[in-house]
Amino acid sequence: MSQFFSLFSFLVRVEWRSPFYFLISSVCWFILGYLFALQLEQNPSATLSTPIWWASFLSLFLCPLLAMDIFYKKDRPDFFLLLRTLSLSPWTLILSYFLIRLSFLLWIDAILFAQFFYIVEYSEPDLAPLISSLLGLILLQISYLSVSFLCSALIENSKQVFFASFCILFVSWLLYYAPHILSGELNSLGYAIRELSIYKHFHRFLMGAVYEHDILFFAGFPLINLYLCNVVVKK
Amino acid sequence: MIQLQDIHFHYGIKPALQGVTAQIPRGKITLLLGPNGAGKSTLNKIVAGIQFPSRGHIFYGNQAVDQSYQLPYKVGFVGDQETVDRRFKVLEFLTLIGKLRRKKPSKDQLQRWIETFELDSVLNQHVSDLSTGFRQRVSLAAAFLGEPELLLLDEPSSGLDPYQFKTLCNALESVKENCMILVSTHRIKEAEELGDHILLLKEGRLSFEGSREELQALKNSRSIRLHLENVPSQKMEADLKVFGFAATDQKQIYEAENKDMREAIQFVSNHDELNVRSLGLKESRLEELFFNTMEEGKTQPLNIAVCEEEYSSMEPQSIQVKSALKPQNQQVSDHPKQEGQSSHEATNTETIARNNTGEEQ
Repeated sequence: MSQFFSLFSFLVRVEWRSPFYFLISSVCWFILGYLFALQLEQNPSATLSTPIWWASFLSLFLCPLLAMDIFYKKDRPDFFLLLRTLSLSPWTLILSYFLIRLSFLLWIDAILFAQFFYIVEYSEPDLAPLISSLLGLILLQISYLSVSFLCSALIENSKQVFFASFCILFVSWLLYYAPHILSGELNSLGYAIRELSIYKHFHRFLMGAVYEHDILFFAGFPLINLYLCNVVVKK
Repeated sequence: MIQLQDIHFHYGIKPALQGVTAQIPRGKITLLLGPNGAGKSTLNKIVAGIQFPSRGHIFYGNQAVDQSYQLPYKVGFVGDQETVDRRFKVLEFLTLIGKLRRKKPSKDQLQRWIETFELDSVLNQHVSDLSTGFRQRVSLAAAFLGEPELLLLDEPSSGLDPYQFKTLCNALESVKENCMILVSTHRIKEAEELGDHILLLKEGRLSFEGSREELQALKNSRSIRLHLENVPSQKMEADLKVFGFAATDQKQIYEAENKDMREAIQFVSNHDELNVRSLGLKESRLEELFFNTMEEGKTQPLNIAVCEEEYSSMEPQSIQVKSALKPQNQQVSDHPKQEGQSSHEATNTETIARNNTGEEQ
């Protein structure tokens, strides 16, 4: 455990001084802030659903970007390899990196929390859907990031990692809209395909409905991905 | 001591290591030599616990090393590619590595390796701002930190200037008593004085394991050097060529590759007019021995014991050749080494020498 904290604290110091991440978070904050302001202008009793939806969409790009340089990459120094020679368990390494990268996503989400407090301060909103959609967003991002981590463990080229994990997440997002695409007789097939979508579980959170099976999915899915990641790293 | 037993490793269906059985003894520097793709880096990673063999076992003393991340020995590792995260500052990086070791190094130890590899001036610089040589020195300092029981250095000299390489050699000498050291390198010339124990890998198989003297003895059996007192006549030179002796840069010295010493003795005996100073087995530099072994096309492990046995069954007149298998310092020379003759030029086994009258001793 002490090894985990040593590594994690060092990684926090190193990764959080990267201007690259601050640049990305600035862009995301600008987009999400602008959307919120636009919504306020059109409807004073606005909710967070639009910026949160956009945050979930941006996560399709952000998660692959944050995971593309983890593990062994042909074009980068293999620090991960060195760490493994220090008898650190793969779990320690994976979790350290996972939590660091997740903290960046939460940093980007911070503007949504600020918007949440703004809404609570200046109106009397129904808190349940606001909280559930924020919670759903974080769970979705954890799932997306775990998929990207698994891709990163499997692929040695960082650009390929980005494209592979983006494609997987984007297809998963598109699957949610399968019933819209497959109309008529194929509509039931569309609904069956929708079941494969990660976004489907988040969408119910966005609507303010929290179901046990969605929570179970979000608890299990990232764990399975990270476990597979651990297996790949060991191999 | 680490004992590798019948180690196999495959990348997909491509075999990288095929039945490697070798030792990495404590107190010695083991040189792992082999051409590109021989499996050196894979072997390093297996011993470092990063990869697990498809078949075979690793023993640390009597203890079998299981396939878990917790090795029974501490590893200091320098890989064949850069392993230092460039976003770190040098001091930050070394401190982190120190903290992650099971036995944390003291400040004095940290200072020792910083001074040894002359990193004082760059401690607060980011690794990304350093030259390749400095980055390699940071990797080396991290590897030596925390008294590792096993040092695995894959191409440790890359990026180092000759002075820094000497520093590395001294550092290895200073820690080798309590440490197992495995150095993979292509810079054989520089490393040949460093290695006490040599492993030659070829196509994933171990071609040779033993001391440099043993390798020398094996290779000497195939290369014969004839040193004459005078330049031979044209007729004699033709005879020498027919036998297989080729002239060297020095006109009085001839060498024959892949010839039986018994035939050479016979040849010399039949040519009384040859004014022989010495006839013996040629001493080669490690680099030559390496290339000879690689070019032989033999992939079966060479066994020094078998060679000894072969020699012991030879005819009495060539029995002295066997002495060539003994370490150099046990050789008895009839003629003192000539002034100005470098050690590798000299015949290490002046086993048969003839006096000026041509009488065989």
